Amino acid sequence: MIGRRCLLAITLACLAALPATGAGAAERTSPQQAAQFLEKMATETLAVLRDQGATLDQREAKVRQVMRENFDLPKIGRFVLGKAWRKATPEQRAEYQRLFSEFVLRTYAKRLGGYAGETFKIIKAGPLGKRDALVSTEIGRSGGPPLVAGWRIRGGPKGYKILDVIIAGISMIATQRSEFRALVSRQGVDGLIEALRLRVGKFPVKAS
Amino acid sequence: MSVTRAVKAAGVAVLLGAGILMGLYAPTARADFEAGWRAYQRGDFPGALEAWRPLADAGDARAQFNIGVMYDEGRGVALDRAQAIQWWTKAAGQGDAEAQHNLALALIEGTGLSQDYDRAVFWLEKAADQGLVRSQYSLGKMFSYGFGVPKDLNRAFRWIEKAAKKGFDKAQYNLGKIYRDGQGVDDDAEASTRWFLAAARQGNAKAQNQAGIRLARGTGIAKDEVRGLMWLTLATRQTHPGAIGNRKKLARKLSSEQRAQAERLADAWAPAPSHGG
Repeated sequence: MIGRRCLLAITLACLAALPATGAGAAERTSPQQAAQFLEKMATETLAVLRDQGATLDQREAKVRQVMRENFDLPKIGRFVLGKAWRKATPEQRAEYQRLFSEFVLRTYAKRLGGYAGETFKIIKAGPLGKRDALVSTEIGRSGGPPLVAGWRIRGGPKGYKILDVIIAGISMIATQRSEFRALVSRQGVDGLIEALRLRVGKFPVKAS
Repeated sequence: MSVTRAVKAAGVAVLLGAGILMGLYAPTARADFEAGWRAYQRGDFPGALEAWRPLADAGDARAQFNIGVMYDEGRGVALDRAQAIQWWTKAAGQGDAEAQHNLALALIEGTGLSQDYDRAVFWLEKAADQGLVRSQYSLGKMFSYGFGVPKDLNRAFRWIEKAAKKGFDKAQYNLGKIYRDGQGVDDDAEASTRWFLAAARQGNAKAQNQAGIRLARGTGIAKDEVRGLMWLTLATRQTHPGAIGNRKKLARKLSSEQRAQAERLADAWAPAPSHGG
């Protein structure tokens, strides 16, 4: 009974977050195939996490690699920057995309990866908007309540890619977008780039 | 036994007891801390939290710092930046430099939409004064952009120079730019090239691109097009967007023998050990 309410919140968050990007002949993404794609990624990720021969750092680096292959980071980055993308110079765009990818991969590899005894279950899959599929999953962890996550997935010529993750009803890209908008309005695109640089510079836990 | 003597004896016993307890406490605390670290490495985050929490409550700055990281990253607990800030504030107040640094960055990030640049600068200065290279560099960037402080290019230069001298590649690259553009200090082509090269040797792609351009033109250093091409090749291999075009342009000017030589140099190149990152 992982709540209907949670799933509803996920769906609503998704709909609010990513308006249909204006591509013409939009093909609908098959929810079943999107679920299979996600299942495959999850299997790969869980295998990495179970490998206790590797250090936590190594496991997370591998999770980041899997994510890099399966997320459409350039598209997410552009969307999250909003209107400011159009005004940004090519150099600003390149630097922003590089830092944004690093920031997303680090943040989400930490939030989703690393856990021992993680389990992954697909609850349901359905269409979202005109083109995408939404796959709802339950991620179980030892010693804590399961995490319900929704994945917005789009099929295309290069295969399936994840466009958004919705955790506890909160869309990753909608949250980032509003946060970045506030930063850009105060400090400009260069200020946002600098803030991203600072963010990836925190120290991890100490060994002693 | 007189009353006073009894009191004295009792006092000694208490002191001895306390001494024994304190003596015992230290190794136990160490064992608990290490148990937490091992649990964390296994991915047993609730176990790590269980080990560290009592230590943190008893005032152990390392445990406070680590719990702050767990809240900041949402590991074993729901992500909660306000909690992270609280734990790091405790450890930072005890002088833990890494906690001061992370706290400053968390304050820049803010909880939700509110940032506190003033407090961020306060803690960055503390950590930078303790010699933490990343904090010195970040503080320099705060001054160069005027985040939480009035923009001050000369102070930006001084902090970035400190971090660069300790070998931090990003600071070295930035110092190269500062000397090239004369921001907060007189421009100095030689110093600029020297610092770009220092960062380039550590594998910094942007610095390799700059070093390549400057060697190709002979700016701030004797012209050496083959070495210039080597740096541009190395930057290109790291997919630096600007280096790709710069490399093609330079390669067209050189003989096939020179190009082959640059390629060989690039193949044989290995990064110098990095510092402070």
